[in-house]
Amino acid sequence: MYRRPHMFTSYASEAKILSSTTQRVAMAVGLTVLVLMPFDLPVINQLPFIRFLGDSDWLRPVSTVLVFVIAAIGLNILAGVAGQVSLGHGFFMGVGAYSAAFLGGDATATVYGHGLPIWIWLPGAGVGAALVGMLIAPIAVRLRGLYLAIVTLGLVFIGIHLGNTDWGRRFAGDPGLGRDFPTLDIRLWKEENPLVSVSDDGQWLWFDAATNQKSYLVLLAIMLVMVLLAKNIVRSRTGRALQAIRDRDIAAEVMGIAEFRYKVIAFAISSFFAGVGGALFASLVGKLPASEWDLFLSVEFVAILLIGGLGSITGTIFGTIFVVLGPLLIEQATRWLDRQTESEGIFGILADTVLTEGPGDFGPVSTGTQSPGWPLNVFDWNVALYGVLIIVFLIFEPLGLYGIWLNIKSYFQRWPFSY
Amino acid sequence: MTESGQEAASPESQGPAVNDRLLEVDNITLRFGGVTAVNNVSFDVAPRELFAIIGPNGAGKTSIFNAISQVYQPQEGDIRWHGESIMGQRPDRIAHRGIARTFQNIELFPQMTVIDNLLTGRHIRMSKGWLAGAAYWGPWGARTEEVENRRKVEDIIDFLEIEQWRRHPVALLPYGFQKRVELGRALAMDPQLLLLDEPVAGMNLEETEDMARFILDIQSELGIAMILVEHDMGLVMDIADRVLVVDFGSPIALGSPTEVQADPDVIAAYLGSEHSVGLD
Repeated sequence: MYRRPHMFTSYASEAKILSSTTQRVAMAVGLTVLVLMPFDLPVINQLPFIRFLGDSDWLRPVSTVLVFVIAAIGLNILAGVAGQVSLGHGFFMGVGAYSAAFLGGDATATVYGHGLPIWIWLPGAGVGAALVGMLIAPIAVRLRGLYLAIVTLGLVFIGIHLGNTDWGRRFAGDPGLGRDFPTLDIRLWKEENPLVSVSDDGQWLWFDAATNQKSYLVLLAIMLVMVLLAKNIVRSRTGRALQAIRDRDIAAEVMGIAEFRYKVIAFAISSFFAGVGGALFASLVGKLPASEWDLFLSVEFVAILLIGGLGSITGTIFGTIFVVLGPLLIEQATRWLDRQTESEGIFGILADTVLTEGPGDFGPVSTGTQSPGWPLNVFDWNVALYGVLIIVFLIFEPLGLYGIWLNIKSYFQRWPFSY
Repeated sequence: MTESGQEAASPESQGPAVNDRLLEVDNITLRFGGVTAVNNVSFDVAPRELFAIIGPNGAGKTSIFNAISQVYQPQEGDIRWHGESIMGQRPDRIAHRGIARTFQNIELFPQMTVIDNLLTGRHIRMSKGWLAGAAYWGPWGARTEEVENRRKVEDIIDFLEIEQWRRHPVALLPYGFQKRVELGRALAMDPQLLLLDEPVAGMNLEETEDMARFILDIQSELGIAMILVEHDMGLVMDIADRVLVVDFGSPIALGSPTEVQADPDVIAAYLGSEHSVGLD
């Protein structure tokens, strides 16, 4: 049925996340594809994107996307919605990861661990990080903008230092190798056979499911729940209060919004998401040293927000996909081009122009691993592109990919009129 | 409008006298370092009264507003709301008591839509916290409350005739409509007293007349008392019940519009000659 895009017949339908039939259909199709993606099914495995990434390598990065989406949403609630710029997101992820390890990990001679099930350690990771976040929040009441960013930057260094102290090593393990994190196995209590085991291959209903396929689905479910929670918070009373503080803090107070209280709430919610994301990331990787929760990780999340779109949950998902899968796609594309060099036709010419395989070639992308030096290899190109993209988005599309999406959407909604 | 019957009923009561005054400002003085922005100002506002504060630029009108909403803390004097002192309370507590305000330079939340701005005004009349917000559906969720308040916001949109701008981010609205949305956001708080800081500043004649209409409607239909700071003398003299004139932070006249217009000190303040300062 054709509908006018902004015509609603009730206030309840206006408040829906997916208000149009088109959106609901798109979401249903998208979810089906996402759920079926890890399995080798006749139609799904022919989809270009999935095939392009290679047969089994891709599940890992896509799982990373799911985990990063959770953490990035946390930063977006803090920085995008509530306007409190934080460079310490990696720190809060680390706090979450070690809370999870403390509760759910296995104890050894050198590290703590209580071997509790995921029902305990996953929320525990969030709550642990949220409590630390609430301690930091009062600083944000005093400082704003750049000053707050610098203070949160300090957290990252304090965190890595703490992880290297004797006390910290009981949580974080060896500074070089790190410790084992709990697996995603879902069990009732400390029982021997998990309800859902993702640590080994096995049968799921009528599927043969491998470890990574199962953990992907578990992560997908967790991510969907977290996205929904975030979306609900942002569209209801708390979300509006946070935006009000971001836009005009004095006016917000005069409207009856307690600034201190809501800044604490913003930090708590943001750190909760960071903690859950950090715990899942650690669990996905399996073993991480404390130095992994560093400034680069925090900056990666800032990049996700800037590229995806500040203040938008949908944009965060776009941004994460772009930042995590982008470099991988470029890498795959380079490899694919490399195989085309000998062939005739347009791809052969393209490959000759772009790639440098030996001393006589002049392409900007080197297929070697030599670094640095011109031509850059594909990894260096990825790092460079990363920086360039942040600059480009800040200058040309401050709303990020979400802004581009909105423009495309409104173009078609208004067609044939231009505004 | 006077409810002095209550006072007569308990003449020997020891507590503060029950009176019919909504707001009493009692000899407040506000200083910033060596500058005395507000000097010994006293006035009171009755329920449903339209009270105006006028004065030349820099006279301290907005500072009086900021003192009432406790954005600034006056060093001396007392401000009473329903006979109870509100000195030293945080601005958000003042809002909870039923004092809403608009600002001289529009202080809307520019990235939010008109609906969201007005819903933010409903904040103090809503109760669901972030957990209920996250749950959203179900008996404890925020959905019912959200929808209910959305309906109330629609009444305000209807009252102020801003239907066409509902879904626009307020930053994109014309100035006159932004002023109207800001009035709407204050109304959404269901206040008993509305502080209007230059509601028609920078507006053309037609917009000014529209705004005057809205202010009178708020007084008569919604029964909300208002304090109006305004430079448009025509508007003030036409609609205000009483007028307080301040100059250099000090009160120089208080009375009905006709009385104030005839006051020699007021004329002197506006024309710039010597005049005595202080009500005696």
